[in-house]
Amino acid sequence: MAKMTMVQALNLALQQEMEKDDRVIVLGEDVGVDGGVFRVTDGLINQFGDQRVLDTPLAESAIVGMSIGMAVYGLKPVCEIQFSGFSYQNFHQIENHAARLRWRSRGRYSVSMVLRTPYGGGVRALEHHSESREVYWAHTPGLKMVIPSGPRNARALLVSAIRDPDPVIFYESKAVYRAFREEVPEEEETLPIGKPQRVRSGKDLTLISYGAMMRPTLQSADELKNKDGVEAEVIDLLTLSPLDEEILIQSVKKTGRAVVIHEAPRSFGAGAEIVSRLMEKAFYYLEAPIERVAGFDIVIPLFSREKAYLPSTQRILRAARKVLAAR
Amino acid sequence: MGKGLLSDTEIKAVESEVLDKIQAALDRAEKQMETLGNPMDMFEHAYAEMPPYLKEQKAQLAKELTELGEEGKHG
Repeated sequence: MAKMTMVQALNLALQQEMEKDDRVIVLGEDVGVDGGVFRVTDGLINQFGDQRVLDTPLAESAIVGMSIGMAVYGLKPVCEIQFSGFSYQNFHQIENHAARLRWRSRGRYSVSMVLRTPYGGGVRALEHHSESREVYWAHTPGLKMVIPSGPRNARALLVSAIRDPDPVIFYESKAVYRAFREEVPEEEETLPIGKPQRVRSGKDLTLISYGAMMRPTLQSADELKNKDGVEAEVIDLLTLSPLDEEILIQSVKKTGRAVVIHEAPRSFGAGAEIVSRLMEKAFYYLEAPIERVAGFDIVIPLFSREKAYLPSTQRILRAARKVLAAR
Repeated sequence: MGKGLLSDTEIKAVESEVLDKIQAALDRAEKQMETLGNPMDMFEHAYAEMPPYLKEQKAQLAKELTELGEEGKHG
């Protein structure tokens, strides 16, 4: 197996799916000759040509509108929006059409497409380049919202997303893109969309997170073990919507304590939904109120203050210790 | 030659000069970041009047930063 960054692993997923299925089309700003703003589509135009890898104008609404048209007529478009902060330009196409065509046509039409886009802070970018607004999409019925946390699960989930019969919004963390490498198998690997993974077992506390925040969450679990002798169970959601609550409920029934971590703003975030489901299904097993560690309810500050905004291991540990201390 | 074309040596010199300038600008920016006011400023100007839950979040961060000392302040 080769050790890959998330960028390379995503490139492998696209390359192999394009090879297997000539309905798969890649389109977006600079995805062709330039290989994509983060080089995720590097080399695809040389292998598959400019009929399957399309450099589009700077027009997000057109990119997504075109993808919807392609999908309705049986192609499998994978479009790239350079930064998730630009995807509001195409919100109308996704919300009013991609998410609803199956429902509106009573199943006659469907939109099997993937919208890939980098999200989140941690790379000291400028305004509109660091937001974590996954909830816009997760809140929209008809869409699937996937957020991988590392090279291997990113590759496997992108393959599944391309094959999925429904529109999938696929958030890729810029902070994770080149942060570390993982073994990624050359042979095909998929992961089911809508299935969180237990990435660490423990009996004392459940830590629930996804995307870029998985790293500080896992570091916190290490520290809890080393400094506090606490066995934290860690769950990586991978898919925000449809959310499979079963693994979360089982875990919290076992540990009785939970912390949810995300970099998106706290209010009305994914944490609120997860806490609600745990309250509905695992309330009588809880030993302490569930804590949320999240971004603040403000626009993510510019580069120099990002660190103070993003959930850190210190903030996760503080919340974890508070939950553990409750009797 | 005599056509005023750039030689390889001259191209290298220009490239290195440009890279030096970029590096110097980066170093300057990194240094300035250390002095760009207080991280607590990020809570200002979200609304004309700060909602109570945001005041709570701000107070919480202030407390954490005091505990962390200088470490927590800079990106």
